[in-house]
Amino acid sequence: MCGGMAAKGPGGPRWWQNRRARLLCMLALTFLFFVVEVVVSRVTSSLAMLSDSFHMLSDVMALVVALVAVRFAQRTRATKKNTFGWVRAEVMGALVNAVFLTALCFTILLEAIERFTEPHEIQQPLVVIGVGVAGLIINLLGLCLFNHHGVGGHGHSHGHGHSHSGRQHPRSGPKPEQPPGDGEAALHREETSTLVENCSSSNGVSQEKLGDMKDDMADLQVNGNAGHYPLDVEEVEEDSSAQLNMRGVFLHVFGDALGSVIVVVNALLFYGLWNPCPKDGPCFNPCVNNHCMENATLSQTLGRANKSEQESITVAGPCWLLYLDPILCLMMVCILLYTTYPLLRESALILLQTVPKQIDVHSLNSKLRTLEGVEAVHELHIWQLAGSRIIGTAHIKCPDPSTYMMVAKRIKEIFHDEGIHATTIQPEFASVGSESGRGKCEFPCRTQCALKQCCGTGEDSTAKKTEKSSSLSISCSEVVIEFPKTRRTKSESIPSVKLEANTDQNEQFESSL
Amino acid sequence: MGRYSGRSSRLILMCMTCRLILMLVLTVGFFVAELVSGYLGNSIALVSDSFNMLSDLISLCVGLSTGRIARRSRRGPRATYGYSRAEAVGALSNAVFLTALCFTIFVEAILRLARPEPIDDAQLVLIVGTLGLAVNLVGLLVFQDWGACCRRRRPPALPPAAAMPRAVPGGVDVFSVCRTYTQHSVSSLNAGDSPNDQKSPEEGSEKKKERKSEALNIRGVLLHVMGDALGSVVVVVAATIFHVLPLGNAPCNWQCYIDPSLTIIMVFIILSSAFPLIKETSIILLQMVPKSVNMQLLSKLARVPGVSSLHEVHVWELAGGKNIATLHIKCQTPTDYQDAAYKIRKVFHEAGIHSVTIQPEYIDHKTSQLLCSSPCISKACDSQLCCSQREPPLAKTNGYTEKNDSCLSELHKDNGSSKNDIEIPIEYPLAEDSIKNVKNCDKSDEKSQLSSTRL
Repeated sequence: MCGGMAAKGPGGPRWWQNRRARLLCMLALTFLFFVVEVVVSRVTSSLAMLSDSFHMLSDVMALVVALVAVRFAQRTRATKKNTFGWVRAEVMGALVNAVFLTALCFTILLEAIERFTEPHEIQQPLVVIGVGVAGLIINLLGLCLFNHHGVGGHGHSHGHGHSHSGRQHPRSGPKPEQPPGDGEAALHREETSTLVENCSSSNGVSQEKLGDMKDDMADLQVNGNAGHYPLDVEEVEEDSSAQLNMRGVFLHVFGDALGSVIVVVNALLFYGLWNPCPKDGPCFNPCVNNHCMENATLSQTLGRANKSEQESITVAGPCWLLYLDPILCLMMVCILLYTTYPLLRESALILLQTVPKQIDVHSLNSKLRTLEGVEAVHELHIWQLAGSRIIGTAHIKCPDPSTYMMVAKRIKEIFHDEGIHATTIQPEFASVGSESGRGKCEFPCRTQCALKQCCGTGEDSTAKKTEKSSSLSISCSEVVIEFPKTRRTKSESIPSVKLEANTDQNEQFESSL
Repeated sequence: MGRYSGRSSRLILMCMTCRLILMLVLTVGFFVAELVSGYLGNSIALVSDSFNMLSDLISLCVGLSTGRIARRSRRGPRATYGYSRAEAVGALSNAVFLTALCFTIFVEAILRLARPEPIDDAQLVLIVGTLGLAVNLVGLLVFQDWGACCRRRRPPALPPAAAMPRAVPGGVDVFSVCRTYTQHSVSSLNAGDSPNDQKSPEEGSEKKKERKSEALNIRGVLLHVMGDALGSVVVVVAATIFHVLPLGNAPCNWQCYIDPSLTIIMVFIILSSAFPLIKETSIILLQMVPKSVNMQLLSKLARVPGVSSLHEVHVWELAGGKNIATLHIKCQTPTDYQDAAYKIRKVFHEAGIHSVTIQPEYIDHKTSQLLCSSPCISKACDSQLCCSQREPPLAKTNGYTEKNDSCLSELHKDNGSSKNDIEIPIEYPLAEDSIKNVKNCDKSDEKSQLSSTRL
């Protein structure tokens, strides 16, 4: 149902592909069901139902977190508070949901262990079955909603006429009409496999992915040409950060669905196999109050001895039924943790400013260094803002400005080929006659800022040579270069600076730039 | 943990990991003891309470591991900035974990309000609760600032008054007092352990900011410990009431409602201190402009001689006070650029940002002054830029600035002539309403390609 609707062409119900619409829809459904469950639990005065209803409430909270993240993330513009826009909000939403889910697993684990020590019978199994089935249906609906969208739709922006990793070199402009060929499909596959670790194993939906993506991509290309600006922006935004966010929601709903399955299975088995104590007549329940087991067996033997007289002692049904619930819960917790861990890891890696998996910094560095006119590359930083927005900065050392002008475009192309489109390249021009100046930063901040610079770690692996010792935690500031006065034409005097390749942090440096 | 560098200043830093490990050992010990005694004494309450210690354990483990990751890992091919942000992520995880636990506790309290039950073995619960409270108080004490004693001939970077809890205005909010107390204690604790403390007071306070990330991590752990302590307080109070006024077999009276209501109050107190931590870590993790930086520096930047315009100004905090900025400037000549670069760095330095990357773009008379000359090599990449080029710039005071004030005339000039010269096609059907409100220099249409920092 859901897959069919979303796969329609441009004339199809676009709102269905809208993340917010889906989230709101699911939110309304879940909240309604929560209310229904609370009411039913009051009517039937079943505590188990009430506590189960609160699992729905946790679902509602996860959906709210995801919605807030989506709302934020649609504001991609830079603002006074956030110069990058709020695109990262979805990654954070994914992390929050993953941690939340882990915490819930933990509490479920505690409850299950408690149940082991004190097993409960299920009261009114029929009601429980009824509500459990209803909950299962809602959760399955939610799975359907987020399954297709959360995992399938992504990466449209990559379809616009270029690809990563140097597979193609589109020097000319974009070709939006380019049909999704093998390269594109392979690209998407590569992207999904790198950006979404274990996606297929955890979500089991990898097969539909490629097909759906192609449909969506076709939509997008038409849109891009037609200039439907808002929609274009909307769909282009659905890249892997949105994917992460939706995965978080999907996992919550999945966990809830598993919970409903367990409830239904348990109640069914209980209804079928449990031999309850009848209201009248003597009966004893060997399954509860374990420490009374001795008394129980005693009375049992007594009972058997007197069996001829008292046939009416009933023993409550098979005890293992009571342990079924905690066991199933434990299994569910394991499954959930196993599927949540990749999401947690991925969103954490993005938030930690790590290099995206598909980029090899070493090869990028060597490509840059082998360019004509580039003497050294340092302070190379690559990080992922969110989704496909990868940001890079580098300091490139060139002999003089004209060389830099020649090589600037090529540098940008190298970055572009790696998929890094937002770059800031700072050229540094080696001062005349300073052979030792290679590899060192010409524009450090003052030395006392050393520890406040971004890279307070020792080895700058991207520098051509490393004259600094690795024990020092400053990457460039302690080394200052003597500038020949002729290069500087401005009126204010620059204090002449001393060259000190000194690695002891405690030394007082006289230099300042 | 091998940070025996022999310097006394490092002792404090080492102590922090030591303290976490000490707390971990204590908690594990208490957990095991409670579990064993629960089984021996056949009390479910003890067993379930011992599992609440597990959450403390988990938060301690997260705090420890992220602290280690942040400190140990250096820059590498997988992480060009190192992993110093791990502590912020760890603090966020702890805070969210605590929020989730509060949610479940809240749910249980509500259920208990619906079906009140008396506490059965009040004496046992009282004993266990007191023990738990003792353990948690020890934990709180462990994280306090003993550095004041340990620090020898070093002037404290913070005035001693900062270590005292700030009086909370209107403050019946016990927890916020505790919170500010721990914030200050943690930060002053961390402030002392810099080897370069003698250099300057400015640097001392910078060290304090640098250790802010560690403080975030510890705050996450402290939140959990404090939550546990409050829980123990509630348990002790409720158990005392039941012990002093035993209920026997009577139906539940007001006594049964004490526990859940106190629990609900406790949940709100904990949440009120978890959210600020979440907010602070969000500022770092969402790449927001750090609080210590005032974006008015942009106007200072625009006034630097040699700079025709600026755009793509990004300022963010890596972790622990390390601020990073990148920007693109448009200059006429390379010498302009070099002069301007120095001054720009000075402006940033005064604002507290020490890692700046400046990309020069030389004005080509074909393209308009105001556009980014080199966003990426093709316009198809627009969606992957950190800030879309298609979006219109805002007011004059944002990252997109003109050097001279007579930009209006230039704009009109540009409107006419440069329409065809712009590399990126103008596809800009909608003008946002806010653009219409923009003063002076920004006319919507052709400038849409600028990726501006909207202020």
